[in-house]
Amino acid sequence: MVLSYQKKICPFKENQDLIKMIDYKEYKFLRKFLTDQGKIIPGYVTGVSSKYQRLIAKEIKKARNIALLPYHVDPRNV
Amino acid sequence: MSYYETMYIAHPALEGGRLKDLVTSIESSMSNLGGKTCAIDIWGKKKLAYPINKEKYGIYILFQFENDGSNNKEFNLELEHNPNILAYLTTKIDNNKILADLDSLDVQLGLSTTNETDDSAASEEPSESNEADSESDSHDSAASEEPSESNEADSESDSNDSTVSEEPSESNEADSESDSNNSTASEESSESNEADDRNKEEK
Repeated sequence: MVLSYQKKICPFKENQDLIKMIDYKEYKFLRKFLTDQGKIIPGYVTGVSSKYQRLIAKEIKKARNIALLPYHVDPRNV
Repeated sequence: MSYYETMYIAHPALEGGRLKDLVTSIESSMSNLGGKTCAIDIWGKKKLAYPINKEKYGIYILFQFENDGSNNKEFNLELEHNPNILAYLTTKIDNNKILADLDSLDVQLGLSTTNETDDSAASEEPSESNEADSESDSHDSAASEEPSESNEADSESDSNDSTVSEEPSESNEADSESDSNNSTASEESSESNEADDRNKEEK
């Protein structure tokens, strides 16, 4: 996801069905909120409200624990 | 009583019956601790985001159960001490997240599919010894099917994985083909080099 600092509307408030996608098993969806290096993108960049950003961060950390998402990606190896 | 789910990664070398033994042993250990199994979903072999115990692949298994949470520490300790389990994660879930309409364990592992058993029964009726062969065949078919599924799953997210997994097969196919193709390929490459040389000379 490209880092851009434009004001955005929270995608979870627009589409309520996305809220149940916040789950560590839906790691392909959570990958949208990671940078290429594997860092969690801050909510002020993606436009996600702080309520759901907290949930996303928790689920990403769970997915990292079980090796569904990387802790970090070395750009030299990609 | 509340609902929990444990996702654990089994060793990628486990296949068929041995994987089923592992899954059933963990299920029985949960039942010994007073839990009740709700669902078991086998995701299959997937590439890990980072190597665990020097293993790049792992078999993901989701195990949902109902328990009063007091024994989860002992259950996690059993998973920790099991050498065939690379990693595990136990989380509390809501009632509506319990998976339903899952296939039986044998079908998920590819040990017995209703269609395959019918075919084997129709084609290999005469002797019972063939049944063991058909089972082993189903093992092989399952083993061959699993990687393709994982490739499909990975291709959505990681183009790198699919290319990595496809490349060796393509190279093998190229090797298995007649040498004339390779020679033509090398000739073409030499011709292209010559063409490049001519272009450089013209410049």
